[in-house]
Amino acid sequence: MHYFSIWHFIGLTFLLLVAVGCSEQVERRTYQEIHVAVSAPSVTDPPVGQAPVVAKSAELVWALPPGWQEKASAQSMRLVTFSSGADTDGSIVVLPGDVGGEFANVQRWAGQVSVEMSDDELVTFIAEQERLTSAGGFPVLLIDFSRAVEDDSPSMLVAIVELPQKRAFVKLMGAATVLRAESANFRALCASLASHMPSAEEPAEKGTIAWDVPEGWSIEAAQGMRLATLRPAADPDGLCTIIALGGAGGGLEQNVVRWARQLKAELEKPAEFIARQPKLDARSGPPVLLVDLLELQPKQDGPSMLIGVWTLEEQTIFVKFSGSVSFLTRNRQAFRALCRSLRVE
Amino acid sequence: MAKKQSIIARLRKRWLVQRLMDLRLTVSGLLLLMVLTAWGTLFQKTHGLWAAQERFFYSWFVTVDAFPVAPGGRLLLWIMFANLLAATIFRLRYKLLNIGQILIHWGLLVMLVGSFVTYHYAVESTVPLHEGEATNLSQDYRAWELSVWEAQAGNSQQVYAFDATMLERDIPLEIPELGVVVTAKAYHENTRPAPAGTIHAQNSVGEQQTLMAVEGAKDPQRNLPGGLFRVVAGDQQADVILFGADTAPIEVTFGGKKISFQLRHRRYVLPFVISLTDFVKKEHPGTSMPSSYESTVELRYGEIDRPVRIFMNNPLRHRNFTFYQASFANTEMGEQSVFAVVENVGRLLPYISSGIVFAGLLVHFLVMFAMRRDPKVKRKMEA
Repeated sequence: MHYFSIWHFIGLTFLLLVAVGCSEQVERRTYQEIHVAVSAPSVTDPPVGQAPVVAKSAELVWALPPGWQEKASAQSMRLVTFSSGADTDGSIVVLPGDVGGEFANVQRWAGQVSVEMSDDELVTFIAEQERLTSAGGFPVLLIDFSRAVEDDSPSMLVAIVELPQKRAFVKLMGAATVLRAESANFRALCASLASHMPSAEEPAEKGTIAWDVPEGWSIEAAQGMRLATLRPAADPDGLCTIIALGGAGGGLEQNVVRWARQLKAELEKPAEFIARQPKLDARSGPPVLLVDLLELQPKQDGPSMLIGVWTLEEQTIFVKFSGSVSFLTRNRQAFRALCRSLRVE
Repeated sequence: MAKKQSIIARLRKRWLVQRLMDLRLTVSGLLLLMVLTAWGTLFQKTHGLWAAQERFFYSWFVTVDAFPVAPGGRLLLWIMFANLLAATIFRLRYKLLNIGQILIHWGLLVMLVGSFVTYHYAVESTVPLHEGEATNLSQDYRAWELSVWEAQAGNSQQVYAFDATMLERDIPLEIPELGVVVTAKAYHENTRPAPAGTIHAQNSVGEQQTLMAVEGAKDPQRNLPGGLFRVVAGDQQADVILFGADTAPIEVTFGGKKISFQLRHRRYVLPFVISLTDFVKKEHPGTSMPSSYESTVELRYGEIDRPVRIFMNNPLRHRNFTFYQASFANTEMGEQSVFAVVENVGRLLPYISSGIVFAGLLVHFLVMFAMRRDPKVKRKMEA
């Protein structure tokens, strides 16, 4: 008589495991994603029709080496996209702050081109890279990965350019052999970087945001997403920044609530608060909403803000005037005139 | 009860039980753990945290050239658990006199159970947020998924996701709700854009994109997967190339329906929506070195909005989730706060075990103290 022995049990278990292991179960997960995104700030496109070797953005000018060409790019964060030939891709990007520092960035790029280095080796590698000062007086660190990889491997040349309160990154990617041949040109491009100071005399380009600088106010160079920084020359207790953000710039109500919180105030009904705010006719386009936060600051010497919000089709312009309540009150008229002078040219 | 005790007494004489409850096993295990910790720490300096954890602490054996040279952390902890359990059951005398020791042993057992639960069931992920941004998902550090959804207006969408481990097999991934079938024609766990790569296709804006498979990084967190995917919808089909470094999805329109495809880190659903209200970074005077940074977030679950400040040593705790302020980044959209998220069903076990061990030590000390002061107490407790 046959009976169910331990060997039968082991055999059946094995067969079951094989069957389970061989079956191709496709597991699909389904979930509801809720995501409220913030819009990327728009960056002014490099002007078209400039002399072929000199290009500029809102804040930098540079000279492309002979034979290099600018390319159209869908990536808004790039000041410019260029190529030295068919198989390379270059860009200049400016980001606020130190963007994590030299070490962290070089470590990340090393990973992108599959260069494995310990922390100590990376420190040595950075120390061996060339440092120079560009035509605009900016310190530049040139990182050359083309000699750290095999001839046909993808590699990159990168430069970290120290600008005031931010960093510019100049990158050229391609095969290592191509990059080695282009390294002198890349160095020349980085050495040509200088700041571009907008001036009142300079004719505005078509489609750009323009305004009248109030009498007696000074204007400083554009920085990153800031189109300009202005301040009353004789009254230095505050400043005014004009900022462009893509889309709705994070949403009007959310912004107003956030600004109020910066003043340690909570708006119980932000929609009603916004509805009370006056609208000023701009020189062209839609009116400018003037968000007046002075009532949220009880102290005359306490900080507060006046903010002009100009919502255009693809971007929102924020004219942010900050300082003490007494400063803002003194300069309120000039600020309103500035908001009224906004236009697209 | 008498019968049960006799079973324990009988088992106590068995060779295996004698070996398992041996105090020399405890001492050897502790010494080996010490060696392993020192070795792993030195290894971590050159190979990184992840590699050290995998090689020394999550492994059964530590190998050199595929040859096992020492027991790994996992094996040692299992041996020590068996040793502690055997000692607790068979060696300890369950008398009032030993109440402190009994508590200490059970507390340590709870601690080891806690580490088992954490290792097998805890999920570590991250949530990066810009000011004004909100999400109900966290993302894995190393695992990837193919996410597919129909682009719709609004802030909410239904996502269909397949773990990247499935993409290495040439099997059709069906999404009947969207009427599409996706097949990975080529997929590599680590790729880079390259002039002469092995994967070619056009991306969504019509640019030719080429990827080259490269060797997997030592730390999988640095891998960037990529692949060529064939999407079939009825009698239409399209080839799309997906690359892990692409932050925006590839969109393909089938019969007026715009479907998004993205290769991205595996997502985990949070039981709430978290939004970043404010991020503040303070720097040491005259430098760009941050001295402190903190985030103000808002949790929304149901009708409840809960504002919370998260900063160093002040994480956000909600149910089994803990959010730590991990780091920050500067992106094209401004400053971004990065949170490390740990979901751990056993997060209270270390506290409970520490409490039990503390109580055990205290009771043991008091019993010893009382016995020394008054010998009558000793006689009563030994009775």
